[in-house]
Amino acid sequence: MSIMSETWDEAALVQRAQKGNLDAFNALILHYQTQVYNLAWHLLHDSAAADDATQEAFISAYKGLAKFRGGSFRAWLLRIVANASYDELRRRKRRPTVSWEDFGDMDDEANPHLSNGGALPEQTIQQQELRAALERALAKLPQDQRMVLVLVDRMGLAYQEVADAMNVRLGTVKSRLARARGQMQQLLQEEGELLPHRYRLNSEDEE
Amino acid sequence: MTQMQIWRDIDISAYVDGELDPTSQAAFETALAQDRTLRRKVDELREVVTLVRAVPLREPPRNYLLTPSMVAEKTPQRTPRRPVPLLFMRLATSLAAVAFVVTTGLTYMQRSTTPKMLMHAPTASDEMPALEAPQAIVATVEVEAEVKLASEPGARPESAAIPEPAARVEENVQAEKVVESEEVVETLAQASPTATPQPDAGAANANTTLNTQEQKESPPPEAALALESVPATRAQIEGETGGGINDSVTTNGEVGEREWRAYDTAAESAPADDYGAVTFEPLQTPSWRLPVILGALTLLLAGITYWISRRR
Repeated sequence: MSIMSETWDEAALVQRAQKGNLDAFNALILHYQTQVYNLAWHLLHDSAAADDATQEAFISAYKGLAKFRGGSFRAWLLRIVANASYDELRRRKRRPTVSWEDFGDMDDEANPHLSNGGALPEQTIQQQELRAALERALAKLPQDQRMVLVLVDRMGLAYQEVADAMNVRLGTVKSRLARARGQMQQLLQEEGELLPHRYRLNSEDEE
Repeated sequence: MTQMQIWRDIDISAYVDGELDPTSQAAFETALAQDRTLRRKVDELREVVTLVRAVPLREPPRNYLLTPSMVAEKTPQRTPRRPVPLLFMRLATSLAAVAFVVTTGLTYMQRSTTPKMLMHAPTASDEMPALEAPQAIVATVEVEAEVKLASEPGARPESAAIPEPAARVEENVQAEKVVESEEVVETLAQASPTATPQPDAGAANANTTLNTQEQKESPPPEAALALESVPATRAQIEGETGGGINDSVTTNGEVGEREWRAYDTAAESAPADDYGAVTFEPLQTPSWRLPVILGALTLLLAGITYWISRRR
C-alpha cells in the first residue's frame, strides 16, 4: 500500500479517515490490529470469538469516527474492542466455559511452525511453554485486573491511556494494576516448575 | 533513627512504571537505598513485569481490512422524519374539524330552543297604566269581535272565542251576578210565594266553582281596574246598561250577552284606537353559515394535507 510507505502520522490518517478515506482507516487497522486482537483474545479466550469481536470493533470504529475528539486513538480503539468483547461474553453466558485444553489447541493455531510437524527450536518451545503458563495465570485473574495487566504490561499503554480505554479513573488503574501484578506473582510462583528455568521467579533470592 | 515510610504495593508498582510524581519518587528512592525489604519487593515486581512482557503478542489469524461493501451494508437506517409542513397541515385540519363539530352542535341546540316568532306589544296610551295594556288589548279585541256579534240578532258570543283573560273576568263578573241574583231570589222567595225560578243551583255552583277556579287564575289586580266600569250590584248594572240582567240564569251565554252589552257600553266610552295592532316579528335564529364555512375549510385542509403526503 502506498500509505504504508509514508511516514507514520497517526493524526493525519485519522483526519483523512474521518473525511471518508477508507484506505487511511485501513492503514490504522494494519497498525493496531494485533493489539486489538490480543485484547479480545485475553478477554474471550477463544480465537473465533476474538476474530469476530475484532472485525466488529473495526467496523464500529470506522462508523463512529466522528465521535473521536482527539487524544490516544489506540486507547479509543481498544475501548471499542473491549466493549465488543463484553457483548460477546454476555451472549456466551449460556455456553459452557472454555477448558484448559483449548489453550493448547489455540497455541497450535497461533504457531504456524507446528503445522509442519518438524522439530522446534528450544527457544520456540520455551516461549510456547511460557506463553501457555502466562495465559493460564492471566485466565485466573479477575477480568478487570486482567485487562489492566494486558494493556500495561503486554501492550505498553501508559496509565492515562488505560484509564481512557477502560473509562475509569487513574487511581483505579494504579490499584487494579498493583493487585494484578501481586496475584500474577503468586500464580507464576505456583507455575514455577512448569516455567522454563531461566524464567522461574527467584522468590528465595535474598541478600 | 529515621522513621521509615511504609510504601504500599501501588506505590511500588507505580515506581516500576515510572508513574510516581517527582516528590514521591525522590522519597521512594531514598527509602529504597535504606530498606532491603523494599528493594526486594521492587525486584520481584520487575521480574513479573519482565516475564509478562517476554511473551510476544499473538498474531491475528488474518487482516481486518474493511471494504466499502462491509461498511455500507451495516449502516443503520434512520427513520425519515416527517416534514414540518405536513405536520402543520395535519394539525390545522384537526383543529378545523373540531371547530366544525362544535359550531354545528351549538347552532343546532340554539335553533331548537329559540322561539321562531316574537310578539311585539303596541305602545300603551297615557290614560291607562302600562301593565294594563295586555288586558286592554284583549278587551279591545274582545269588544271588536263582540260588537260584530251583537249587531247580529240572536247572536251569542261563544265562550271559546273570548280571549282567556277576558273570559276569566267575565266569568268572575257573571259569577258575582249569579250570586247576587241568588240572594235576590232568596229574598224574593221569602217575600213572595210566586218567586222567580230559582237559579240553577248546579249552574250557580258550577259558576261558583268556576269562579273559584278562575279566581285562582284570576288576572292581575290591574285587570280588576279595567272592570271598574262594571257595576258590582244589580241595580248598578240595570241602571248603567239600560237593560237588565235576566235573573233566570239558564245559559251562560245569555248572561254573557248581556254582559257583553254592558261591556260594549263601557268599551264605547274607552278610546280603543290608541292601542294599535299586535305585530309579530320573526326572531333572529342562529345561522348555519359558520358551520358551513368551517366544514368547507376542513375539507380543503384535508385535501391539501393528502396532496402533500402523496407528493413525497
